Amino acid sequence: MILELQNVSKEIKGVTVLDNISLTMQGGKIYGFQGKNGSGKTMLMRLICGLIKPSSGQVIINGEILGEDISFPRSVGALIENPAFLHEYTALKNLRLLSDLRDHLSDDELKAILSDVGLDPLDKRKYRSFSLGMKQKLGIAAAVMGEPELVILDEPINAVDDAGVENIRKILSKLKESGSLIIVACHDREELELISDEILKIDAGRIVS
Amino acid sequence: MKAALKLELRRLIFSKELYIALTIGLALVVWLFVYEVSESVRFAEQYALYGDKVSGYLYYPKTVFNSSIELEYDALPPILLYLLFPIIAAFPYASTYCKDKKNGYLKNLLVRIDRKDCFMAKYMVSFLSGFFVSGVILLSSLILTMLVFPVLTPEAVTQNYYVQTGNMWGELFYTMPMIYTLLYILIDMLWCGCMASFALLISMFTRSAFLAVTGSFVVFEVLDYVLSLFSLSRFSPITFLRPIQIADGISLEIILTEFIVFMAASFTGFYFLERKKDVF
Repeated sequence: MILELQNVSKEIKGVTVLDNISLTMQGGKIYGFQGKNGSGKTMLMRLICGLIKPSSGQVIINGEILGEDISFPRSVGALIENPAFLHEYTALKNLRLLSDLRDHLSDDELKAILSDVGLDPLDKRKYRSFSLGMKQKLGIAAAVMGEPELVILDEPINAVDDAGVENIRKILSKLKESGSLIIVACHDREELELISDEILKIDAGRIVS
Repeated sequence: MKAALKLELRRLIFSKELYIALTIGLALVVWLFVYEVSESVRFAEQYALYGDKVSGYLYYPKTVFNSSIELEYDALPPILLYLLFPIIAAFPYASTYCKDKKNGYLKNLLVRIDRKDCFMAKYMVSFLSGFFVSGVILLSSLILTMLVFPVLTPEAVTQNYYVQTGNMWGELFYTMPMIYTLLYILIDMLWCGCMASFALLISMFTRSAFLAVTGSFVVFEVLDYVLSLFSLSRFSPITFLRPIQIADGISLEIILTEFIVFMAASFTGFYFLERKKDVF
């Protein structure tokens, strides 16, 4: 997996939120994005997922131009901002519905993913009654299920307990070993340094280091 | 496409909104049914007491073709049903797009399925939701009425029927009334699908599920009011959807042309324009 951003800029209502970003990332590594609120981390993640289009420049994934050759990365899992699921279903059912769209995982595989993130696969409670931490864990489970080639996680440890953070580290490490390209945005510099192979700092929509 | 359609259909079938809409519609059907039965009983009792004493007092029984919710004229339930159809049609599903945009579920979908498939599935299921809900309500009324009232071929001379011979398919009504009724129910079902799809067009401009559902209602009601000011009620969907044809000059050409215009507007807006927008 090779992800290239070539002179990517994004303007929204006359405001430049991403400014001429060029970088290349490859599979088997974890890239940490650091920056203060509003620096453009989340916007960059949306752009890589194909949720927003660049005003100029190109995003190229394995040689295919996003928005031209493909409308979204062929194998991507993402948790951007808040996790969002259907309130009237359990965690397992929510994963089942999303898995049926692309990954077609078995019930056993889905249960294993839920266990990996620290959720009880047999929990009958509906998503609406989940705590913030449980919702976040389910969001991560959905992002990593099917071991996608590209994993994008925006503030993955928000509201997650210590045991949960440890689980997330293990999952990311396993994905990295399997060759996935992982992008993580996190405000906690220590955590980012612990899990990332490379840290990129974003400020005012530009990569500054 | 198949996977997206399957997911959206499942969301429709297991949504509480679908059953709320059906409950409201069926409550109106039952309300009318009870009213019609009690009116018939009261009339029969009156006739038994005084029928032979009043000259020209002709008793013509209520039939399916002036007692079902489609073909009753002056009772409140059919008036309410046809007034509320834009809401009843849009309520089961059309607001899901707003909710998906607002809570971020749309992002979960768009990183897994192609945008074209996602938006097409939503459009199709929205249409189907209105089509299905209205069909269940209207056919339930017809079937329920047939359980009690006779299926007599209408006779214009009795002046017990509201469809005029000069109306669209008027002769069909007085010769093959069941065909007329079923054809009109099909028109209503198609139009309710169209109204639900139109609510999707409105949801392009709002993240409020309430506005998406009520917006379609407001548009059709305002249109009805404005057209009535210029004596053009025959062009108003709220008016021409009632099988008793409460305005003169209603024609199949008007019904189909407007259907195509509204469907084209909602499809163009939702599928071609909204699909290309950034998703935040």
